[in-house]
Amino acid sequence: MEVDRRSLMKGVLAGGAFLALGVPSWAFADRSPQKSKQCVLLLGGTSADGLFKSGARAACADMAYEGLRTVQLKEGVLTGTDTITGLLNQSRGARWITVLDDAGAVIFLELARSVGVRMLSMGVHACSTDGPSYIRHDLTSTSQDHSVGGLLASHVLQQSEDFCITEHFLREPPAEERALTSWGAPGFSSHRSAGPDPIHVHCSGCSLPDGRRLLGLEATEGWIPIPPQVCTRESVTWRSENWVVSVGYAITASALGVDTVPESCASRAFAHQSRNGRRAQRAERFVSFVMDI
Amino acid sequence: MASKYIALPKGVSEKSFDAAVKEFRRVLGEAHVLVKAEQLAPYTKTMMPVPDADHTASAAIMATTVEQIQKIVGICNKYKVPIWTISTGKNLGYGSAAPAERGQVVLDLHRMNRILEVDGDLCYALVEPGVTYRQLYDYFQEHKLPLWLSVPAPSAIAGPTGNTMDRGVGYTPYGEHFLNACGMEVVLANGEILRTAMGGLSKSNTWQCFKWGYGPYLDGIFTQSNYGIVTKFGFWLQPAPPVCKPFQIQYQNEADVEEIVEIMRPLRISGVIPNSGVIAHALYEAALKAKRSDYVKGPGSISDDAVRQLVSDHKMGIWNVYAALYGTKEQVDVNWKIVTDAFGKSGKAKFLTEEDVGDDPQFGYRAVLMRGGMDMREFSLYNWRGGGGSLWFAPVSQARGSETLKQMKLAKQILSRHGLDYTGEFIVGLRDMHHILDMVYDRTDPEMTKAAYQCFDELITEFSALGYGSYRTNTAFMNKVAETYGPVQRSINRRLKKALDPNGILAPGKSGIR
Repeated sequence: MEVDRRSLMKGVLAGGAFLALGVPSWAFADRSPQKSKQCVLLLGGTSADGLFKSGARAACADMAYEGLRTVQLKEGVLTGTDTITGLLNQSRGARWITVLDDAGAVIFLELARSVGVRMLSMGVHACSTDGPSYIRHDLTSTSQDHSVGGLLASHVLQQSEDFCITEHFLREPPAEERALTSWGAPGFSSHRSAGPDPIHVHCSGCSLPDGRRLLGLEATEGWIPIPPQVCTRESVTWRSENWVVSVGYAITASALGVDTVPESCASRAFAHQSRNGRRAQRAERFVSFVMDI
Repeated sequence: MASKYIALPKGVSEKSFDAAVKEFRRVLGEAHVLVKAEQLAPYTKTMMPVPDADHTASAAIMATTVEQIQKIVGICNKYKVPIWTISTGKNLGYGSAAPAERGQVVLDLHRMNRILEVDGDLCYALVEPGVTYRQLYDYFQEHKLPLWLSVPAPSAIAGPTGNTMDRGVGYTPYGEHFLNACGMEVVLANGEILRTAMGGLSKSNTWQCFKWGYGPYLDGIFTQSNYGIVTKFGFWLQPAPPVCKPFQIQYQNEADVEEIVEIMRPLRISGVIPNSGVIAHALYEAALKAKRSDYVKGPGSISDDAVRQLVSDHKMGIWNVYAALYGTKEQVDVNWKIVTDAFGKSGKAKFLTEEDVGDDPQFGYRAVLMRGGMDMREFSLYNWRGGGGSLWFAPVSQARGSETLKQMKLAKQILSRHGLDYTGEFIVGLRDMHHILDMVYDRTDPEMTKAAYQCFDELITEFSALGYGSYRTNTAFMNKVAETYGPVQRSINRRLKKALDPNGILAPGKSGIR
């Protein structure tokens, strides 16, 4: 196991430069206790590790967070359960961002449950050469406070690949917060399903029926358009050309408590098809977790 | 309607559930009654092709004593709240920790983890449900006990109670776990405590020595069922043999599997090969050595040509046979000669032992498991297709060569109809043979997820029509598999349920029993 610390000086400089711009793009929500937490990035040896880490560092810089500690597993989870269990037990009070392959993620979740973690979000991120040509993100967030989808959509939209993002919320917003709110971004049209567990669907470059087909949403009727909204809170100031870097950025920013748009829905999805969408040349897939230990 | 809970048990109002939660907290303490989304998220993730929302728990509660469990069942009866009991069985690809139905309360016994007794002379153990194989392994080391465990693939993180209750298997001569179970303590739905067989006599010291007791043998009805909560579990341990010689035999044609089983069966029944013989197809182990994307471009299942290329690139067999010999050096030498003579006769077999393979991961993890050691590299399988989807299909047949190819052809036909790969193995028990398929699929791809559901459904339908029943299945298909065993078995199961758990509070839906 190799442990490194992000350069404090780099963080200070980046944070300083960011603040010098006058208006911070990101604001911590009142509900986020994350600033007081030690944040640990655990990289499980996937080919996505390096790019994810670079996105995570960019998010830390933007949010002037200097305490990110990176732990790189030398052995995988399947042969290193003792190491993981040891790390989990030594990390009480920390917030973990974890990047693992599919097999490692399955075992890791078992270990995490047995030490009583509080899971904030999980994501499966896939770009395959043997399946659909778009990049897929399947997210589960425990509540709107820890959502990743909108921020991720804003970021990957800057790139040329087509994508689908689905995000399920385990906890519905409380009744007092159930006023209609929605994510919005230029180029997206948004719809809300009728019924007791509303779904919000945001499509860019494709019609609602096409978007629903890509997302595997079967309900064909009862979709109500949501008026376009501008979400300044999720506007993008930092860009990357690589989708894995963007995932690293969005997940880390979410883990650090970036203020996102709480949508009044049980789940939501984003579909983007560009006219000249580039087909992925290289398969890449990994699983992310954000959790409090 | 928004609730403060992420799910509610079927037919239970929020007000009633509030009252039940309050009473759970009084018994277990605030910290051991989990209702927040962040706490329950690790209990909700499954690998099945159905929405996780169908299997979301309303709460998870953690007991540490039998008395607490007695009180919990009392509360559940009072408020008609159903509980889904888990401990350290993992059920990956069988539903994981999530309950069979949305809203059930998970009763998590992993903290009930005392090793109550290990007898080094009589070679048995009595444990609580939360004890893991790793804990026992460490205990043997610490106490210098020359005893072996038999572990399933999740080894270190799994435990004997959960695994045996779902009739899981291992890879040593004690690998048929329920065969080596001896004595249980069970909390019944009415709070009574049953100790099975010799455990009924208060002064008996044979609870873990003699399985049958007197009268009907009851232990079996508490496995793969929902008739009680097992709180103590006895099982037999293998004395560590002086010598263990794991070996692999490679074959290069799919049709060779008939010959392999015909040779294997008499060696198994006569005891020359004392552990289950595993006959793994190359794709079952390919992820240890290769990436699927190096051999498949575009949708659909992998072609036979690509499999042959993969096998050749990575020096694998199309079939990879694993077994081990145990005993003194003399015994092992004699049996090795019998094995090599039998398999060597046709000239198709390539024998490999530990000396031949070095640190080859394919051989390596099998050898560890055949010694009862801890190794989870089998789950590399989940990286083959990726995307977090897995469904284990486990039909049982006679241990005859003639049962192999026709099953494999049928499975491949159904799988390829849905664009999925054949990642399978045959496990030769004694007279029976398990055909284990891990149907791995990409859960992020809605089309493939739909196909996986359909495919699994067809596998059950078509295999059962030919008489191949599944010995185990995931929570989304328990009803369907139960149906294949006929109306009389279902009716008996229902009547037992009604008699033992009239309010239906214990794991409704388990094995299709309500």
